[in-house]
Parts: sequence; structure tokens; C-alpha cells
Amino acid sequence: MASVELKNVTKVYDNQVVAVKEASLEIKDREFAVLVGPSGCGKSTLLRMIAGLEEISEGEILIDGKTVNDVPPKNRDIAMVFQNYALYPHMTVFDNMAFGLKLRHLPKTEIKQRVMEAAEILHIKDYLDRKPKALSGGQRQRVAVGRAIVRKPKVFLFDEPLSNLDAKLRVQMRIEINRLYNRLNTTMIYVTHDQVEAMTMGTKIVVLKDGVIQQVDSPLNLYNNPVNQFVAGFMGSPAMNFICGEIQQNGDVQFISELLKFEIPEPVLNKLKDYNRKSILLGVRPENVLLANSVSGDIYSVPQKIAVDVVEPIGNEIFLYFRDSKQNYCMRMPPEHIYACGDTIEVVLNLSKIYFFDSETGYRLA
Amino acid sequence: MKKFGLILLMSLVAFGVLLPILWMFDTSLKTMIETAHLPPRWIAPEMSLQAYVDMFNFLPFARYTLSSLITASATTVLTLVIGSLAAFALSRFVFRGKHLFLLVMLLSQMLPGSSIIIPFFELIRDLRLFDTHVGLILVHSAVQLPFVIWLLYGFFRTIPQEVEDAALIDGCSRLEALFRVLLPLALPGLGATAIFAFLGSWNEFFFALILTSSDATQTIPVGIGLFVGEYLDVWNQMSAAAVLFSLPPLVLFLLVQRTFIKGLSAGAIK
Repeated sequence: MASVELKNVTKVYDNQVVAVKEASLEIKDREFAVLVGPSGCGKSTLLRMIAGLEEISEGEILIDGKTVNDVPPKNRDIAMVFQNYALYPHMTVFDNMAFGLKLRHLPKTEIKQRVMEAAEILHIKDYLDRKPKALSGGQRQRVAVGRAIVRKPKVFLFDEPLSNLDAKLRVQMRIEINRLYNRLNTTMIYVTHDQVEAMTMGTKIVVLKDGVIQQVDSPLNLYNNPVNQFVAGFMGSPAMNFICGEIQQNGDVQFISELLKFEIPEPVLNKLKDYNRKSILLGVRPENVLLANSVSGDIYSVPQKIAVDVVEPIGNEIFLYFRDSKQNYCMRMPPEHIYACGDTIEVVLNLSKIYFFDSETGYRLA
Repeated sequence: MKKFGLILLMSLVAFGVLLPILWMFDTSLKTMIETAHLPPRWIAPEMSLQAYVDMFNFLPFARYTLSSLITASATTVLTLVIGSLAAFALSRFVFRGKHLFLLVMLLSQMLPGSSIIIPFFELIRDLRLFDTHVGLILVHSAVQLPFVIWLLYGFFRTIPQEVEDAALIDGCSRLEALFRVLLPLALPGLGATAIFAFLGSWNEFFFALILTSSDATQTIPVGIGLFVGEYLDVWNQMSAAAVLFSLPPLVLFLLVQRTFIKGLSAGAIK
């Protein structure tokens, strides 16, 4: 059990590509931190630097308060689970799990006890004599997790461990890893490109883009208070709608776009005062676009007629898409409503849950 | 019909390859006079295994065999040890001049042996290693090594980096990871490479001819060459020797071919 701290960590590869840029981050003891971002954002590189598999170009990494920049992976007391399992194909499941313990010269009885315990937790007791090639993908990943937990390390590292599994198994393993976290109560760092995995597993989420940490926060804070357009668009599915428009002041202050026009609510007015007659991005999550006749109150915008472009019934809800000359927008609604392509509906926005971003920098304004 | 054509073509190729070997075997069973018979015939009136006995009296083949075994085995071990360390570094690290190094090794394979024999000869003579096993082993190893490194480099690259990473995290040093995880996984490749190195040395004639001069160090290919005398060509004994000494490589190949056909690294990753 340990904390992990990164101080201005930078990674520059030999070909001058900057994979991670001045990342600073504190992961507390027993925290489940998820590094999330699109592919190529540097999240795996960051994890590999924490593991000691990748050299740190600049900055400092501390595990349990000690600088580990020059400590080889084997002495960092960490365990790692890889996307492609990375089992030792020439060893049985038992030996795969026992390998790290044998290298550390633990007594035989203890090795056996720890492996059996892990096999019990992960339901792989029946396969201990098999070689990895005789196992399914899900079983292999359990062995890989088992190999990590028998070591009882200070920190667990997961590098997209579920990406190679099919959708159903992925959900199941997600729950199991969550359960494992509650049971082991150890620091875990988990890398994924899947924002659903990030939201459901992490107690702390680190969003990365182009090697730069964008925001570090709890799942719900990240969802409700994104610091910029990238984080807002990355977390949540279907993604937040971004509507390009302009602020105009003719008596009252209004947001005007191709499809929408509404009065900007009092609380945010102040923050947008520099943007009069300038273009600005409005962000609205699909669940905050609502049918006009289903709600009433002054937190909603004036009803607006809109033509339905595409209907996606999911079963428990329906996604409706409409579009302007540039892009698509999405709203989600309960499944009772039945609409067809081309229908005109009246929608309102929940103005207490809208966001404004600078259209050039992407920074959140309000 | 297409299949029939293919079988016919393959049979022709096989016949072409096997014909000299069959003729060699046939000749080894004949008497010396019969080998000069015109026109040559497959079935001679008198056929025996006498040549196989006589060859050992004509030339010291027990000594040659020992020399061949020593040279080929030592060359195999030496090239495999150096080759696997080099291939490991080449497949796992990025360093300046890596591609140039690989290229130069490849280019070295394009030099004909006769163009480098004189420097080799001088080097070995100056090191006082002329007519010694050590001298021949060093030269054979030098000649085999580039190809061995290339072969092993290819095999190591097929082993996923993550398996090695896992070993490093599990508690291995770089070298432990090489010996405990990478090499066992590269076993089929090592086997294939070992056979290549062994046969390369076992069959090598030219360097062995130039760098050795006494019965104690000459190898089998050189020994077989000595049958071609000034006045007398003992074709039947020469063939008998050739048949006999093609057997070890053949047996070796049959023994290990199963290991390297079997994909040992199946199951490491998805």
C-alpha cells in the first residue's frame, strides 16, 4: 500500500516525439486512479514510467515517498496487468502465478498458499495445470490478474486489461476488478481509453490529451464540471453537444445559433461579458435537451421547433438526432415517445446545466 | 488436374534432388573397378559394403570425425551464445548505428570465402592457431555469426515485448528475463539456428582445407577430398564416406524438426 506521486514528469522519445509533458499528479494510498484519454495521449507511457519500463526524460516519480526514477521495475514493488495478458506461454497457470514469488525466494508452502488463494478469488482453480494456450481470453486475463495479486504489491498497474475481451466479458471483468479493489484495498492505477470504464471504476480520474493532463477529479465532478471542451466531450456517452453560436446584447443578452436562440441566464452572464458579439461554444449534454411539453419552469429555454433527423431506439431510451448545416446533435428521451425521421418536435434546454467554452482555446467559461 | 500437374512437377524436382544422392549410395556399394565401368550401370554384378570398411584403412576417418564433431559443436555453442546476446540487444534496444550494424552483417555474407581467406590465414598464423581446432572454430564462428544473429534477431522480435516486461516486473533482471523467459520461448528458433550453425561448420570445406594440415585437425569434408589422389580416384570409398557422414546431420534434423515446427509461443498473447 502506497501513494504514487508524479512531479513534472516528461517523456521525450529518441525521435523527439513528446509523449508526456510535465505531468504532475498525486495518487493517494488506496486510491483507484484511472488514466483515460484517446489513443496516443500518453496514458500508457505514463503508466510504463511508473512501472519502470520506460525511462523518465525529466521530472520525478515517487512511490511511497521515495524517488524511484532509477529503481529497476523489480525493486519498485509493483505488479502490472497487460492488455495482451503477456503470460509466460511455456509455464503452467500455477507457475505463471508463482514465478514472481519464486524469484523472491518465498518458501514453497507460502507460494502454494498464495497461488491457491488467488486462484480461488479468480475462479481459476481448475486450470492451474494448464498452459495459457489452453485457456480462453477471459481465463487468460484472470491468470494475469492472479499473477499480479499473489505478489501483494504496493501498487497495481493495469494497462487496458479489458480491451482484448468481448463486450459482455468486459462488463463482467470490470465488476470483478471493482470487487477486487474493494477487497484488496490497495493503490491501483488503471489505464483505459473507454470513458465508461473510467467512470465506473475510478475514485480519481485523470484525463489526458496529447501528453498533457487535462483534469484530475472524481468521476462525477469530471462529468459535471469539466474544465475544457475536450474533457466535456470525452466523458459521457452519447457525447455532449457543442453548438457554435454568438452572444448578442440587444437589451437582454442572448445566445444565437443556427438552430437555437435563448436568453442567457443571470448566473453566467458575468462570466461571458467579454464575449459580446463573439463566437462561443455552447455545451449541452443529450439528457439536458428536453421535450417542451414534458417540463415547465424558468430554468428552461423558450421552446424551439426542430426537425428529427435520425431516431435510435436503445430499448430503455431513445436517442434523437437533428442537425444544422455543420453537424449532428443528440438528445436522449424516455422510450415511450415514438417519432419518425422528419417529424418536427419542440425542444427546450435545461439552462441550469449548460456550459460555455471559448471557441478557440476550448477553455470553459461558464 | 491442377493437382496432378503439381504432383508431377514436385516428383520431377524430387527426382532431380535425389538422383545424385542415390548414385552416391549406389557407387558406395560397388567395387573400385566397377566404378570405372562404361557405360555406368545401377546394378553391378558384385555389390558389397566392403568400401565402408576399406575407407577407414585408407584414411584416418575416426580422427576426422572427432575433429568435425569438436569443430562443429564448439562453433554451434560459441555462435549461439554470442548470437543470442547480440540478437537480444538488437531486438530490444534502440541505439545509434543499429541498422548500420545489421546491414554490415548482411553485407559480410555477400563476400565470397576465397576473398577473405588470405587475411583469415594470416590472422590465424600470427595468432599461432594454424592447424589447431581453436583456429578453425574461431574462423567458422566468425563466418557463421552474422547469419546466426540475423536468424535469432528475427525470432526474438516475434516474442512480444510485454512478456519480457512482465518478467521484469515479476522480479527478473534483464539477463534473467533473457534466460528464464525469452530463451525458453525462442527455443524453436534456437534449435533451428543451432542446426544451421552445426551444419554450416560440419559441411564447410574451403576454410578447413586451408587452415589445417595434419590428420589430427582435418575435418571430414577435407578427408573426403583427400580421396582424390594423384594417380588413383577411389570413388567407391569416397561415396561410402560421403554417405556415412551425411547421416549425422540427417538424424539431427529429424530429431529437432518437431520442436521448431511446433509454435511454442502460442498462448502468450491474444
